[in-house]
Amino acid sequence: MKFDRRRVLRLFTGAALFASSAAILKSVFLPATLSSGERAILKAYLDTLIPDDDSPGAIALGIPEKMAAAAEKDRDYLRLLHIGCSWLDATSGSNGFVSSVEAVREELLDQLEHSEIPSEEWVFYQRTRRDAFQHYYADPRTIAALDYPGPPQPVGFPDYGAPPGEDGNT
Amino acid sequence: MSYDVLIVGAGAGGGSSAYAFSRLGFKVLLMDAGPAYDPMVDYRLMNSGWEQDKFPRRGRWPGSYSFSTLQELDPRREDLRSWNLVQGRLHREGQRQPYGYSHVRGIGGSTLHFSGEAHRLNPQSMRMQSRFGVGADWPFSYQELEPFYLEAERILGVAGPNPDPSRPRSAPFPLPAHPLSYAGKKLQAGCQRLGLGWQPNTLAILSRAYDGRPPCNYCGNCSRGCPRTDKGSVDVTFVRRALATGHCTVLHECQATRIEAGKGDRILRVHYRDTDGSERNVSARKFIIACGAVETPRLLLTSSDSHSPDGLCNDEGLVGKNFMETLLWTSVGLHPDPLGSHRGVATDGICWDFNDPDAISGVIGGCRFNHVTAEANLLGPINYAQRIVPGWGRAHRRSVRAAFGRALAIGAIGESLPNPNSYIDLDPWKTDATGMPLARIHSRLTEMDIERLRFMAEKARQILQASGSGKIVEEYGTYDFFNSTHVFGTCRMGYSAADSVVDSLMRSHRWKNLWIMDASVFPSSGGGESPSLTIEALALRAVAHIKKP
Repeated sequence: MKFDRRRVLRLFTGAALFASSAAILKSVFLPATLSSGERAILKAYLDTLIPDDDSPGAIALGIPEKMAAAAEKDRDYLRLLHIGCSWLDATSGSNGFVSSVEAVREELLDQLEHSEIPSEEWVFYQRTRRDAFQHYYADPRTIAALDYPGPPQPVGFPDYGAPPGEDGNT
Repeated sequence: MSYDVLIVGAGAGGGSSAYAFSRLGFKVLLMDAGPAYDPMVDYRLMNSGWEQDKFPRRGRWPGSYSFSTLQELDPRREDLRSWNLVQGRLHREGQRQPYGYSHVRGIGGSTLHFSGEAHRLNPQSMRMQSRFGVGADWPFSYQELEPFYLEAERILGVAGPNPDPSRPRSAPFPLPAHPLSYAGKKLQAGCQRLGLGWQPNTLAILSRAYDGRPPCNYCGNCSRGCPRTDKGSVDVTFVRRALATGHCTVLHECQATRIEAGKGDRILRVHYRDTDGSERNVSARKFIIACGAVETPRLLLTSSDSHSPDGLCNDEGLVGKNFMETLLWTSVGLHPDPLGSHRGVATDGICWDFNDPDAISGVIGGCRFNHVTAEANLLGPINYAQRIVPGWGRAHRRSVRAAFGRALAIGAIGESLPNPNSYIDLDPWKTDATGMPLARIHSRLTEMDIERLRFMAEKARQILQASGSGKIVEEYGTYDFFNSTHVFGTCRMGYSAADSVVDSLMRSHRWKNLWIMDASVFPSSGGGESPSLTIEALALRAVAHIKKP
């Protein structure tokens, strides 16, 4: 199913190009929050999107909870997560997404990444990916792994004219 | 309470005129719809989540505007569409999309989030009608403005190369140019390989301690607000000096809603909404409107009455006309070598080779190219991960680590010529919280604008290629998006009331005590120059011709 053009722009630019209005929303009943099953799917999805390695992944940083909380304040976003979680669960086979092995989850994320533009699945992937990386790289524990001395102030980068890494300046 | 001078809008024009009037002893009230920002409190560059924040717009009266339907896009011009490696095309509509008009309300105006560029207008761009048969001429010469450019540069602490090959000047810059960043040197080398010039950009950013402010420490985040005050935004320069005279009062978060005219072609007072929402008014002997090329015509058109049924200053129907926007292109490459490209001033280097109005073959109106990695907001890992490093999982994390600091972006801004389909009017349906109708932006790119944009795109790609950043990972431009920071022309200045709104000293042809001191008076946009320094010089010049109280 194609995603409504106004929703796509609004969900993507991060700014409300179009104010939420009854005219945009479908008249479909939505619970005010994600169900416990959907939260589990979202958690498993984000664990695949940003797994642990030598630095904490999405789960360790509480990203599923942050995104679920954001969805409670944005009806369009809530609907998007509902759609995405339903797709993941339905497409993963009889075991469901949460119980699927890593290879199956990765295959589904690959499908999402390459899904038809602008299908609901594609919008789900792009928006959740964007938000997840925003939360992830805003966490100081991930910055350390980048060997980036930020934030930019109060020190700045006084050796900006030199190649990075010289004089301890990245 | 009554004042000698009431100034509406505290940006480049309002702030500089407030200073100019105050030092002459005029009793000045400087009013803005936005707040006064505290650099150490409001600009959050010391926080771990700094990258998530853009400029912290806030205030009781947030600005808003609307758009008319923008033009259809030509399927043959796919190479001018905006895209990135993660998302593909940034939109897939067959019509140009309204992204936004970047206008900051506050004491300092849009200089609060600008990248500090302090450009003089190309003298050739001031004779567009007489030399090229397009647009309009400025009603005075560059030489007449030059002393006021010098004064504004001194107040701001502009850093630039001496000598400056790009503009005639009668004295050196106050401060030495900022050395190029390591990443910027790659662009310089690329331009040299192509036989193009590349020089340090002229910036209202301190290269040394000056005027009680510290030098820049090269964090690259000018657009998020400068907590150190080394960036010469109007609040820490002109307004600070105005306040120091003791003759200037600043009123923030007060939105002007109507200008009231009286008999004898004189303005009586300005009505406004206070922070608590109450309606108030203030009178003065002289009125300066400095809200920018979208908001100034909005205020004038809203101020219609029996004296001016079609809006103040609009007897000839020219208010809002001749709207000129930002013609923009950016190409982002990923260099094979680590550059640490998040370091340095936001836009350290610039190429002026195509800035003359006849520099681009077959096109009237020039452009400039500059280093814009910072302006492209590729200063931290969030934007790398979201925009230019595709994928997910552990491989993606390794890719982000490998890519970080290697983005290299070249941008171009080009001349915008007026056309009858680009103008500002009042939205007939939408209003803001005060009940004022919104300004409605009508924009149409002409075939010449698009050809200029094509030149900008192709040359930007060549420069990146020559710089060693052949893999382009993102491009965006104003072919498929309306996205303006610099806007001009909607209250054009000129000799005659028949074809201009204000005279050569920016005073209304009709209203004896009303001046407009912002870029809405520009008869031409220039070949991509940032307008704030010219706005400030114009204001200083205009006030210099006004007698002391």
